[in-house]
Amino acid sequence: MKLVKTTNQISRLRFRSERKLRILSAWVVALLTCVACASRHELPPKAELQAQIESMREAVAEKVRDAPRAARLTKAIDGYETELLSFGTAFKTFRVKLLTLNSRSDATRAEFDALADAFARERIATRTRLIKLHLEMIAATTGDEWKGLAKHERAVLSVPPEY
Amino acid sequence: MLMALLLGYLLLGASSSGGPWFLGGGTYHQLSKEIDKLEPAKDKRKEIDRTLKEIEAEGAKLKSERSKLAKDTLAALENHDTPAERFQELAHRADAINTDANKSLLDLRFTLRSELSESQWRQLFPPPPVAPSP
Repeated sequence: MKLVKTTNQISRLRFRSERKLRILSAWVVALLTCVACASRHELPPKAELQAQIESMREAVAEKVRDAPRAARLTKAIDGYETELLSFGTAFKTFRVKLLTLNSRSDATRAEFDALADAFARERIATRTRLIKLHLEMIAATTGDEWKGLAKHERAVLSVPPEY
Repeated sequence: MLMALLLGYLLLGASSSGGPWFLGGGTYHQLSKEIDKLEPAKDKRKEIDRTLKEIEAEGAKLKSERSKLAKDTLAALENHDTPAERFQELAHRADAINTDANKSLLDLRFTLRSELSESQWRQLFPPPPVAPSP
């Protein structure tokens, strides 16, 4: 009887210790996640974009078990990365040119229009290619798989463009 | 809001920054303070204030349109069933907003330019530190 009581007490103590350990582990994980998030937000935009793209690739590996479709997605994500890095460079150049032109007191309207039109053509071409890549990702996923990937695409598109 | 970020620049270009691009990232209030330092003539200052108010109103209008466009675009991207035509509609809408905003902001840029002397303009909008390659 006494032995059973002692065994129960040991079990309860073990359960409490395990519970405490689980709570502690959850706190540690939460803390590490916060630290990781904080350091990610401190990354320069180019590194931030690459980190978000990498997270999307990891999510594909985790959520899409069908190898041919996973390969299609990875190829589309590679294309996304190339397009966005290239757009970042084009945007930075455009911004400097725009501010340089604006600083000139004798700048003409035609000069502004020419600069804006050239950048718009480049931006619209990039946007068209990105929509195509997005639709390729949609075609390579099921609705449920996309639910797990869409938040990563949103995060990629939330990075500031000044690389 | 997200539209100030990459998605916004892809859709709206420079006007996505939420305000007039010629402020170089600054706000209307910062611009007003900088203009105070230039000590323009009183009658000119009234004209300038009117222009600044128009710039502010244009910025607010753009912010509102941008916000609605962002919401619709993100919903289209997240939905697995969005047809390709929907993205074309959103792109056309973005281009129309962009064309209008660029025209209005350029008009206001040239109005402000006419209200300041050459030297005041140079002090207010110095060239960026890095010159672009030709």
